[in-house]
Amino acid sequence: MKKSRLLIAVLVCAVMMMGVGYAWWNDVLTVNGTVQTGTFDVDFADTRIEKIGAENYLDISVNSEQDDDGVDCINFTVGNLYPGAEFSVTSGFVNNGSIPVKIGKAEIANINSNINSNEYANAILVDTDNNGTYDTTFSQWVANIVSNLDSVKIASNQTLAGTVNFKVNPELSNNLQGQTVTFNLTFDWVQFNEINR
Amino acid sequence: MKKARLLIAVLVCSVMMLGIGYAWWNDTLTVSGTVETGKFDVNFIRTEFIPAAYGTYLLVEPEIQDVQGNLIKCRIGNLYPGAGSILKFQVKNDGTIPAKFGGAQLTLTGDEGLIPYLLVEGNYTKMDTDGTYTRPADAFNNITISALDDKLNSSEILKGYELQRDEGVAFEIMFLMDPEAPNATMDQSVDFTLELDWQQFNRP
Repeated sequence: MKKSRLLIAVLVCAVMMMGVGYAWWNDVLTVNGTVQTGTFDVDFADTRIEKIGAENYLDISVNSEQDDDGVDCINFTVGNLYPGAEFSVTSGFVNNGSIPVKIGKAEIANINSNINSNEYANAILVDTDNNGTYDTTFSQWVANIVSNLDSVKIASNQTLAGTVNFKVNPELSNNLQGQTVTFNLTFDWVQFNEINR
Repeated sequence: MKKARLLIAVLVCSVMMLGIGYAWWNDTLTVSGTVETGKFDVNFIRTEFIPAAYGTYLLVEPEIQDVQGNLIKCRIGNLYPGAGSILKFQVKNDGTIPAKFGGAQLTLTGDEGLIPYLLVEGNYTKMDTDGTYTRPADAFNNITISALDDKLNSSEILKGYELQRDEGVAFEIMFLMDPEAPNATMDQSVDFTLELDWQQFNRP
């Protein structure tokens, strides 16, 4: 009889203590959020390479590589070059991302040629203003792209396009006949607010 | 005959004893009381979400989708490296019992590759009943979002706030994307739930 009373007393105490444990009041505040990142995607806009002049013997072909997002690479060949031959390149960049972009770097890489670099650098002249004056060489034009476009930003869904005329240097020496130069011209686009590049 | 007399005698005694029973005086004292419990109620008030970024464009899209007493539902869209948004909210003790910070718990789901590049920084300050800030304040800088709850839980200042009725705490938490985040973090999303537990002031 005494044992059962003790057991009941213990049970009552245990329940009371449980009651004390639950008795502290509280309130939970919840911040429920989603963070969604944007996209960065620059592609070439429609690209055309065209002969200039009615009597023009250049062989031109353009082959764009299209992926799911757009054109990231353009392969083109301008064959049968000869001194004084002219052609124009119409192209541009379209910002298919959600963040404004600016040019970070432009360079010619993977040059594959058996002619020396000076001759190569001076072989093609560029009319940067489309005013009929070929005022710089191809290599110098590439080197100046970043500084020329330094303040240019392309907003989301906007396109920066233009036409640049090229001319084979009329002073091209005879020993450059039958030569082939392959190269990659790459444009590195960066986020509009990137500070160091 | 004798039996009848005995019966009468017993009846008379019984009636006399009944009479004696009623004769004891008595008086009743009554305590009539009401026990009314208090209210423990901490709520969000004054919530806003503003964009922040290095540079001239403010392209991030912070949005407060819903605010209820105990819930803030928000979203940051188009986040990119170097950009962020500042979530400002105040917590107020609308109850009658002082409240103290009991702890924070953060839950993250979504693209795991993005999580290490989501940073947070922020501060909090206690507020008087009229909404003016009082010291001490505390701040944290440039920690990954996954460490946010640990940071809050380890703050002796936050734990030391005892919010009397109508007092509160003002929080500012900036969600920032690491400027060094790689291209792989594009077009990804992370959902987070931050629970702030407020408890009775005298809970051990």
